[in-house]
Order: sequence, then C-alpha cells, then structure tokens
Amino acid sequence: MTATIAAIGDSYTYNGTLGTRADQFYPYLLAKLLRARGYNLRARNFGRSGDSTPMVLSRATSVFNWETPDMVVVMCGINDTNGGHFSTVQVSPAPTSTTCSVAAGVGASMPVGSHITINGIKVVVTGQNVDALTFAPPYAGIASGQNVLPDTYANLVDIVRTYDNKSRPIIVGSPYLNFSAGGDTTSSETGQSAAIRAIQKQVATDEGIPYVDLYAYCKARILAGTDAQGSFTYHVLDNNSHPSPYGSQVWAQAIFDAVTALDWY
Amino acid sequence: MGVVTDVRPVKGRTIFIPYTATDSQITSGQSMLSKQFQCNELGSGRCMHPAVAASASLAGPLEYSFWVNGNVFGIVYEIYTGTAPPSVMVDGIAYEVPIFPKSDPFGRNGTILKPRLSGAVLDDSLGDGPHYVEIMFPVSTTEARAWNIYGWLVDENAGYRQPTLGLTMGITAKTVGNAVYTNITNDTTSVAGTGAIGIRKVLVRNPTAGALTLTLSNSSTSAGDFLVVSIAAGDTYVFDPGGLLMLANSLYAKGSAAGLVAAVIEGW
Repeated sequence: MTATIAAIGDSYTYNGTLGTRADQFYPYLLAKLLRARGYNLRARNFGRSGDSTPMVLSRATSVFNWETPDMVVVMCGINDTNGGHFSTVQVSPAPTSTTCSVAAGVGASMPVGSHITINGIKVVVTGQNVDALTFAPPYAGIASGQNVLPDTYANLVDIVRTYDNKSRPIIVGSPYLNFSAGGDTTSSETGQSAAIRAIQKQVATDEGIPYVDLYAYCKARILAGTDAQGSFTYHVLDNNSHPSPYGSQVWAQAIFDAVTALDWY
Repeated sequence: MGVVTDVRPVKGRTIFIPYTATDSQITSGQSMLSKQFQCNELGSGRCMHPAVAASASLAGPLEYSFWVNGNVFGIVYEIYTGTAPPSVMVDGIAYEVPIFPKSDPFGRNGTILKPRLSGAVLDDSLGDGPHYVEIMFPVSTTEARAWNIYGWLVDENAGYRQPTLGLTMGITAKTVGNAVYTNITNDTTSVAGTGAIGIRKVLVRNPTAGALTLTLSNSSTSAGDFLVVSIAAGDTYVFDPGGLLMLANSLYAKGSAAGLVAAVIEGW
C-alpha cells in the first residue's frame, strides 16, 4: 500500500501559471527523494496560488479527503501581507463591536473561522457575507480606518493543530529570496520575509513541531559556494519569489534533510 | 473457517478514448484549438491543440481539468512545438509525463519526424474514482510550445468504450468555389489540417437548378485533380474511399459553377 505525504500552502507549493510543472514542485520532488530512500510513498499537492493563512486554514482538513497522510508539510504565510488579503475597516456600513466591512474582495480571504486582528486586537471571524464580517469577541473600540489583518500566528497554530495526533505536521519557513537586488542576502533578510519567518518559527516552537529554515539552508549553500548570491536561479524570474524547478529541488532537499535527521524516514 | 474477501477495485482493459471536442481554455491569453484530421496510428481523427507563446513574464499558460472514472489514466500526445511535456496531476498527485524522443537512440537513422503513437499510462491503480485530472501546458521564457493531445487512456471497467470503426466527426459545410480551388478541410473553429490528414467521406450537395461538375484535388492546382464527377441538380454526391483517405495536406474542391456545398467527414 502506498503511503502519502501532503503538502498544503500557497503558490510556493503549487502554481500552474509560471511555467513550472506539477512534477517540478517540491512536494513531488520530496516524495521522489524519499522513494529513493526506499519508502513507498507519494505526495498529494494541496497548494493553491494566492492563499493566505486564513484561506489555508479554511481548507486544512481537505488533506484528509483521500487518506490520512503520513506527514503534512505546511508552507504558508507570505500572502498575509500581500494586497487583497488585508484592509482597513470601511466607513460604510458603520462598524459595530461585532461587525465591520473590509475593502472589496478582501472578505473572501477572511472566511469563517479565520483569525484576524482589528487594530491589533485578536478576533475570530464568525460570519462572512462578501465583504461584511461578523467577529468575536466584541471589540468596542473599533473605528473605520483601523487595520484589519490576518492573524498569521493564530491561523498557523490552528492549521498545524488540525494535523496533530493524525499526521505529522512540519512547518517550512518562507524561502530565501535570491534576487539580483532587493531580496535576502546572507547577512540580511528582507523585512517582509523576516517577519513571516519569525512567526512561522515561533509557531513551530510553541507547538513542538519541526521547522525547516529555508533561509538558513539556502544561506549555507550560498556561503559554501554551491549557489551564487543574487543569481535568482531559485526563482522563475528575477524578483519573482516563486520557485524555479531548481529552487523547488533545493527546497525538497532541505525538507528531506530535516525529516531524515528527525528519523521520520 | 475464515473467508477472504478481496475488496480491491477490479481493473478492466486499458482503452483509448480519442479526443473529439472543441474545448476552450480555462485560462486566458492563449489558444486552445481543436486540430481536425490530425490522424495518428491509434486512429484518432482529431486532436486538442494547446499552444502557448514564449513570454518573458511567463504569461498565458493553459489549464484544462476534468473528472475521470476508473483505475487507469493516461495521455496520448506528442510535442508539436518546443521541448516540454504537459504537466499532469490526478487527485493532486503529480506524474512525470514521458517525452517520446524524436531522435534515434542507436544513431543509425537520424531524426524521427512524427512519433504519433505516444501513449503513456500514468497510473493504473487509481481506484474506482471519480478522479480529478489537472493538465497544465506550461509557458517558457524562451520557446513557443504546442502539443497535440490525441486522447486519453482509461479503464474499460469504468464504463468507457473504445470507439469502433465508423466514428465520424464532420466539419462545417463549405461552399465550393466557382472554378476556384477551395480548401474544404479547414474550419474557422479549428486549426487548419496540416500534415498527413485522414478523410473518411466527402459529401457534396448541389442545391442549384442545374447539374454541376465537382472536382476533388489534393492541391490547389489541377495537378492534384483525382476525381471529376457530375452532380445532378438537387443531388448529393458521396465520395467514400472505403476507408481512410490519407493526404499529405489539405483536400480541395472546385465546382464548374457556384453553388456546390461540401462537408468532409473525418474519423476512422
């Protein structure tokens, strides 16, 4: 009987629009590495382009639609700070202590059950009708213009807890952006990436699950001379963070090294 | 005494289902046409012809998805332009689609021009289904790409039936030119037939009030004329070669006066 590992996340896990085939994304390549080690398993890809952590959380249980996977690789969070996934409290209709509206189109990325913050206050979406949200607990200090953001930490916690005691979750951090300019370097991380990685790492620590530090992994390769800084070979295009087939191969190797070091495989 | 029960799905024969429809792409920007008369050794008379242009920004891929039943799924295809196979996932599981090389591995005969018998069973133990198939035709920054998808390999036990001889598909009837050779094997909804094509029948109707002479040719000049026949007023002439008529290029028709209407039937 063939076992299955699942990979869930955003366009880093699967993206059908940038020239990379499904068999060139890291889930397939990771399973291929594990098969070469003698394990009869394959990877089921639950990546969906554009997903933020609330959107991944809303479909977290879909990994069980076919079977209970042996391991679930969770890689998401970067889209939480991308346009379309956050907003400000809209003026109209006037917000109340339990309702508000977000900008057109943002409501869909904050489905029921997702964790968001309003003006830094943590709430959970209990109702969503297009861009009109109902939330709990009540926040009396709500006012139009306040930021409405995904609560990346809380969503990631709920995502991995979906898999605890059923499968073995592992969190993969946001990748090293090896652009010719404006990306990560071996001495500094971009602000957006560093913030997301810190949250991803904290969730792993707090939940007691493994964390694959892709930034550190790729940094080590660059310092060792295996890859060149600024070569953007990890990416489909310069200044486009999506993985090239080579980049996916590197990520797959990083995850493989981590799970074999854990004696999971 | 115990009883052993085998609950595994029973797989049937793997059969070939030819592509027959004209489908539109589900992502914008590129063309997903149906290339008719595109014969191959499995007898499919038509193929899906996704084509993507080279793009510096990797814009404009094509995606095509559907459900299939049964234990088996495979794809019969060839690379028409470029070097990459399509991307295929079934129920979220990716498969490496083999490329059938157009080169001679022994170095004896040189380039193989048209490997049309390029079928690959990607999985034969899927379970009963239904299964969700996602096919993506990837864009490249450097090369234009196109594929001919002749059809699918599926499980007969799921209820599919391999078409038998006599499956026919017609194209839009075309008005034949007056003393002018008209290409009657292209269709505005499809890619013009190019390369070797297979024709099962040709129907030509004379709706006029007087007899007209029909000429069929395999070229746009009289050098290719192979049939000349008179069609009485109101009659329909059926040209039936008794099997597939294989031509290197298009089929042309000419009328002795305006008015003849021709429809070409493809198939196997």
